Amino acid sequence: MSELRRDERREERRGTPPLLRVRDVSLTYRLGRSIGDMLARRAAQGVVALDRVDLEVAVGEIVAVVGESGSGKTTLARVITGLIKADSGSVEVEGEGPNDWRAVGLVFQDPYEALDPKRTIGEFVAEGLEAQGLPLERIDESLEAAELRPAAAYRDRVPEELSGGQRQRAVIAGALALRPKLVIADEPVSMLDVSMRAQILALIEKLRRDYGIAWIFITHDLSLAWAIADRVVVLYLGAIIEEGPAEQVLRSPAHPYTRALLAALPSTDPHAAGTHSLAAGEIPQGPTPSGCRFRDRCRFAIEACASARPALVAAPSGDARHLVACIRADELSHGE
Amino acid sequence: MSDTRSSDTPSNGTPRPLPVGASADAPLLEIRDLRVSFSLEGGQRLIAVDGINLSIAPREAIGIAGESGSGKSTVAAAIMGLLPPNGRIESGSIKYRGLELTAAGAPLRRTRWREIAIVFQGSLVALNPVIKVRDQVAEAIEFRLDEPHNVANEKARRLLLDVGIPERRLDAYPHQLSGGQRQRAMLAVALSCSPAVLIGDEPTTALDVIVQAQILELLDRMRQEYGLGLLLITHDLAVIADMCDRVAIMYAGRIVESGSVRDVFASPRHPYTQALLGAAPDARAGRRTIKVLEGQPPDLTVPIVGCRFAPRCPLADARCREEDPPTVTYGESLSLACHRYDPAGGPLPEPVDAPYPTLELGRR
Repeated sequence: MSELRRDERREERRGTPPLLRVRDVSLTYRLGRSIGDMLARRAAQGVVALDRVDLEVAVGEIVAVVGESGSGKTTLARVITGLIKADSGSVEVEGEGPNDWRAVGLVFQDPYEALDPKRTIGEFVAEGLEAQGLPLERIDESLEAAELRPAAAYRDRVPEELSGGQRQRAVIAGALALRPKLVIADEPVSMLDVSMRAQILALIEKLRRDYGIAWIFITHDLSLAWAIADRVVVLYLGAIIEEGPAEQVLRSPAHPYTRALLAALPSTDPHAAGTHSLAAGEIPQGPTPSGCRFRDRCRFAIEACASARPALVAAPSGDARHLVACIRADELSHGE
Repeated sequence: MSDTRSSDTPSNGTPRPLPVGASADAPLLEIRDLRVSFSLEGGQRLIAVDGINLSIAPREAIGIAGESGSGKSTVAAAIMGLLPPNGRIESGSIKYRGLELTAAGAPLRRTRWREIAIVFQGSLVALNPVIKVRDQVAEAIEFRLDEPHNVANEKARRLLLDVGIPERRLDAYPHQLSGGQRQRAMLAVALSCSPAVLIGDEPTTALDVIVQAQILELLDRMRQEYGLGLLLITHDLAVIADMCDRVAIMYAGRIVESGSVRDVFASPRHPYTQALLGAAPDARAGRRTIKVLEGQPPDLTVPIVGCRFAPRCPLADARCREEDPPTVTYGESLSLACHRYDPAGGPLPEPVDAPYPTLELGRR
């Protein structure tokens, strides 16, 4: 059934080949055997980090991958950039396998860790260029594209002499130097103050507009995802449980987990209702539950939820691009 | 000043007597003209908190919002007597129920730690990693309240269950708990001595959003049940909107606007408040347009001339760059430090919109 669904989706997009195509990617982290396991002659346990993830990103598209810690979103970023290899499935950039990763840049959450405190940001940007044998003239051009201008004023500074927002720009400049078509940004603004955040978001938009760069914006913040992305993908325990156009996912969330994420968002709008926790507990750290992976925490779970993994199918919103993995989605959409 | 209580009975609703020198009529916590500085290497002095006023009534929840470097956490440290060795209260006063906390030495420390509790962002550093959580709560009760061990142990059990730690987890070590459970355990330690005031310094910042909502719900329930005054310090204005009665917006060591959450959030008046509220998109409110605040906060080691926000303010004129704006009260309780509003005070003024550059996100 899920094979069929995959083919149908491929069919739909035949017109324009995507920039990035992640197909059926799975990855299990194997844990060491504990003494208890050895005594009981049990095999080492595995923790599923990604479970049959499909993801396509078009040229110039911004896709937000939303999830809490433990959802697998950072693992997905690492698989796409080739930092770790998936157990199965494939990742293609412009139809090619993993032989030219220059097309994909990576920006991490913490600019303080990404930059070497003893080296200037010019040296930081040069590092990537030298590794790829590219001309160093690109240093200034990249700094200015990341709005550290004039480049001469920033090139010789060390991270300590920059604000948090400027450091994140320097990290982005490092990614831009390789002229990527896609940049994966893993929580790029979560460590920054709110006024710095707006500057970085503005920069991401501008780089998309001016250079046609596509972004995978990884975040735990649904507000941010909704605001910046064309499409939102919600990840829970390594699997996509809902995806669709940002507006659809946020206005008519179909999965109980997405609804819980939204209800938990505090708002400064005096007219917005207060927050509440619709889901119990936290993301389980041990083995993934059988059946629907969210059922332990779901207030709508019924017996049938335990029997099989729900497939990602058309959501009740009626938008063909809006998909959800919940057997009760239709029924629940009538309830409210 | 001496501490006379030893037989009080916390956690069961029986009010205990006030510390000597304290008054039931005085505000729970009252901060007047507080100035805190840090001495840096090379003889420089950084003014982290530059004359702030704040008071908390019993059962009231107040939020202090600001970005990093605004001085908000320094206020918490000053209240708790937890300033680092290079930090110093230069002037001003901090009173608990009328009892001056800044002048006191060791005897008052115990009172302070019993009446005012604090929960930090990183519960892993605040909990002792090698002591089981039940024992940590029990020890706090045993030593700070002089309870016998078995009584303290039973109280610890009840408190931990009350904050939502499952029975089978009571004897776990902190690292065996999830992030949310550790934050719950921290709250149990904080509440163990039945404080009158609880300070939360970014208490939910490290948590995922659903767990954050759970902890905020718990914090709110505990506040009602224990009749606590709450001082919530966070960079997240939305958390304050959700939890607090009043809000104080700090910028570069000064409170630039304060008032009821309704007044401040519905019609922000200070240009900085407008920028902060407008800087983040809000999916719940359907707002994608964000205000872009350029520049950086000022260097606090250099004396500030004029309004500290003037260099980043779209409304700043010559006067703003020369004269420090006084803090003026409008209506019942709105305070503003901005030259754009009448220095004579009066009823709540019409907000003057600061024309920030805006950015509409998510448009191709």
